[in-house]
Amino acid sequence: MEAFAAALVALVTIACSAAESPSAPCAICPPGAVGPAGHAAEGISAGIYPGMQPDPLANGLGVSSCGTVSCHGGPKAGNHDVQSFAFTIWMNDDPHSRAYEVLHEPRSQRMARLLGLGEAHRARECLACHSMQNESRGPLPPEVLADGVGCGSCHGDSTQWQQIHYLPDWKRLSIAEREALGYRDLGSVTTRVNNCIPCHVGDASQEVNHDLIAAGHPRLSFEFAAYQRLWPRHWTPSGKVESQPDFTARSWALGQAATLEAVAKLLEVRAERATADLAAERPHRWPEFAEFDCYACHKALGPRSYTAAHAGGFQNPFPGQPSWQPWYVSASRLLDVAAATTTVPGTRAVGASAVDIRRVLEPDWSVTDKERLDRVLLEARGLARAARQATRELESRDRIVLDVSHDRLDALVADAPPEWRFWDAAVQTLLVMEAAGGGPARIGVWRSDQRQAATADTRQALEELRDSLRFPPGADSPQGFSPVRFNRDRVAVPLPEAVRP
Amino acid sequence: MSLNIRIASQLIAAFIVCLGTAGVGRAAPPGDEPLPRPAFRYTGADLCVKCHRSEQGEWCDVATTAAWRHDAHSRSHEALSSDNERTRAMEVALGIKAAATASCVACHTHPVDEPAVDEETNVLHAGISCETCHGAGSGYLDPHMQKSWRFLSSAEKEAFGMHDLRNPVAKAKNCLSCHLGEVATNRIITHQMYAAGHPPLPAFEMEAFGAGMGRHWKRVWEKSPQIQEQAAKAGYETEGACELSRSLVGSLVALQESVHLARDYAAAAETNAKDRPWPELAVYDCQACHHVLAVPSWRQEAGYGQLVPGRPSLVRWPRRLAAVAFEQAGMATDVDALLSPVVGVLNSRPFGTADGLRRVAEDSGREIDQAIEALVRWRRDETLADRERVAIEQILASGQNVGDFESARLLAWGLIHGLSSNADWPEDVRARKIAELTALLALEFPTPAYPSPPAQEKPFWQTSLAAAPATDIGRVRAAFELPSAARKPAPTVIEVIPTPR
Repeated sequence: MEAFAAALVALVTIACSAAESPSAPCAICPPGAVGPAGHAAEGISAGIYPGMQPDPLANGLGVSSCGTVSCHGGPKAGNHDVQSFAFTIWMNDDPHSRAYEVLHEPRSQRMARLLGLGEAHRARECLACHSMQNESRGPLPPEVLADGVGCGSCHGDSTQWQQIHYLPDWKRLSIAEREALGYRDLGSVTTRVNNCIPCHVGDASQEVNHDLIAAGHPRLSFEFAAYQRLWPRHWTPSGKVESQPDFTARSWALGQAATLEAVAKLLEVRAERATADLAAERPHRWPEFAEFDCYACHKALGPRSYTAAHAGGFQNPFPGQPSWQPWYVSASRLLDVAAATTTVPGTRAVGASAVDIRRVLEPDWSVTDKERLDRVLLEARGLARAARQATRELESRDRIVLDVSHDRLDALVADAPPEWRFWDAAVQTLLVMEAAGGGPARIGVWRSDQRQAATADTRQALEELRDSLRFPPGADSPQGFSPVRFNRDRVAVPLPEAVRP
Repeated sequence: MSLNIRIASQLIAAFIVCLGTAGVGRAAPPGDEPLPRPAFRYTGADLCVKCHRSEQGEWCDVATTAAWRHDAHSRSHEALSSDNERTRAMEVALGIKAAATASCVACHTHPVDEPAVDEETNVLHAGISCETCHGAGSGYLDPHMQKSWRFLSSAEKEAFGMHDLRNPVAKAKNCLSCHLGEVATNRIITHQMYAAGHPPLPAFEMEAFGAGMGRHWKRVWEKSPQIQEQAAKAGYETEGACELSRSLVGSLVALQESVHLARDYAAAAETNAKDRPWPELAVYDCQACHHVLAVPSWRQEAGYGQLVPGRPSLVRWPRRLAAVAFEQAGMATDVDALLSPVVGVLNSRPFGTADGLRRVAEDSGREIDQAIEALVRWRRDETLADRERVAIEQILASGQNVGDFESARLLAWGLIHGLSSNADWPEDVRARKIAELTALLALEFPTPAYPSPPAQEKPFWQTSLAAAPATDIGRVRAAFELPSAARKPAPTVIEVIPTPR
């Protein structure tokens, strides 16, 4: 049966290959239909292809429709056409393929029970990120749910384009035409990162809040370039965004800018909800602890605690105040400095906008009243605006170069020492150093000069720096982290000439 | 004769004063209202020391002064001095002078704003001294030296200003006013003070802490038969029958006071939000947030009961021992159910609302009073060993599924009191168990009990959660195993059912 289907697909492919130009009649199309333009404009739903029946799984094609052996599910061994075994890589190496499965584990089931969500694998709150189910689609059949975060999660719901995307005419469609059919273009860093953000940062319809974390969900801390690097790649980089000479730097800078916008919008959503609930005297979730430094509270009380290692006293934040999102505040400061994002006159830089949020949110952080929430909203919108602007400005550059020279970083740390006491800030610093070109060999596609410049010494020093930031065994927090030691070790990393402007 | 008349007239005068101020200490309106002024003047520890320094006879036969000099309380005022390194750091962080800050002074010595304080008597330099607990001495200094004093009831002595610390409820409240906090007397430690460096307040068990500070008193049951008889006539049966029963009463009082602390603070916040901002994190369970994130996590394992995961609860440590106390009082009260109205408020938003906590916090009182009444009725008769044994078994059972370290410590202290006096288990078994729990849960006190000489100086707060082996709750649970088989054969009052062969 499967062989038959494969043969049929092959036949269709051959038949359509015969169509030389958009205007030439297509072998399988009824007379009068004019090639791919017609496919795209009318769509399958218009019923112009009598041979194509509406898909029985019209509301969600699962990965099995992509992963046939002759399409994307081929064998890896001896095969150089990555596209032909993209599914195989996803299936074997990509954790996204286990996203649904994990909901059946005892930890997930316990989480759902604690939060009163029923069964994790049926709860809307869990499925929103752990499957291809989302608000815009009707309920998916169970076998599609079981695919986890499958092809459709990133490439778009393939109900309308699955049966035509292998036709040569597909290539002639514009991106807009493809997207009109539900296909999602991932041809730029920005489109890629915006694809990850709804789950890896959160938005109005899905979020990892503190209730969820307390029930057992891991915390989210997203940095696109690093995630992309660690992710098993299932496509050929040549001809893609990877082949741009500034790919890693671009991924980092645009990734951070888009992420910061999403972080600001999520804060906005949370503050808006709290405002509405407060007005209606409903239960609410403000202060949302997930907005703050995890380790500000989560530490043992004692002389060897994480805070005790924070040299420089308690001036900022004031004693007992957790810091707002050190992971993202440090990213915003690094973005301003390393990517030299310029500010449109009359607006604030990303870093300054993030610090504005800290100023509003941290004093009396646990107090909930409308006036405070209004100020938080205002500042959150300010950061979203600044980040959007930064994205636009970065996208307009022909080439993005990250300046992570030690002088730059030293000046940054000296400018606001309390902000660089956090483990989160140290990790972000390491990640930008890696993205700037000194990183491990697996980093995307390197320009030849960078590859030479990042000597084995640099790579090893960065690896050591990375190791020093790991949590101790059995710990889920940076016990014993010392910002002073981190900065000393950072300065000891020999930077390749190429990344020095 | 003239002396008796004098006592009588003082009694009458004191009663009048008492009537005039009745209720002030308990339900003082928070906020701008002046603190209640005690009816009596502090005379200074120097006067007490004149007699209570050596063997003087049955009523002051312990070398009280010497014991007190060993007691950390005698040095508590040193913490107000800027010479103290920790104090200086706190003063800088908080922008205060400890010696001039009411809430510091309130617990570290007598309050300074009392006009009755006599500079000459050096009251301020004596830390927490005799009169802090026993009551300001101006009213009873002379009368209590009279022979007839011992025949007065505790209520009569109270009229002279002397507090009845044999009564476990009064004593627990007295200790907890500092060791937990009390809004009416300004004995408030705020989260900001903790964050600036104040040591955490550990779980408080009055009998263990009492022994730990160096016991400078005898139980009535340790005194001569003649004195016991006199005490019985004066109504001192409220002392309780053993350390364990007092400990159980103490846990109930702590449970009650922890809720009252939140209630009173909430009320203060509603009338004076400027000085008492809501929420004050110090009224919540420290370990709700302050636990190291570890894998596996004892906090995760402990679960959340009726709380939404991730929402801070009020102080938790009294609950388990209090549950044993309810059982011992023959009541079916479930502590979680008792506190469920409070939990409901805490679930409505993180930290709950001031209004909500103020209104629901009173409901628990009646059942707690009822349980205390039953426990105080324990007598030192033939039933005591049975009662103790049942309580010990209940504590052991509770300890075997305990969820957090502070609760475990309270259970362990209760258990140790029981095992120290109950001879149902062989002495070596009891000694081993006591040693094991003491080491595992850091139960030993830095100040060696009088008459041991002061050994190495170890800060008091090292007896707190900081010192506990904060990750392995499994070991703690295992330490509460004490097989019944190790117990000596049960006394004849219990019918032994033969095991079927």
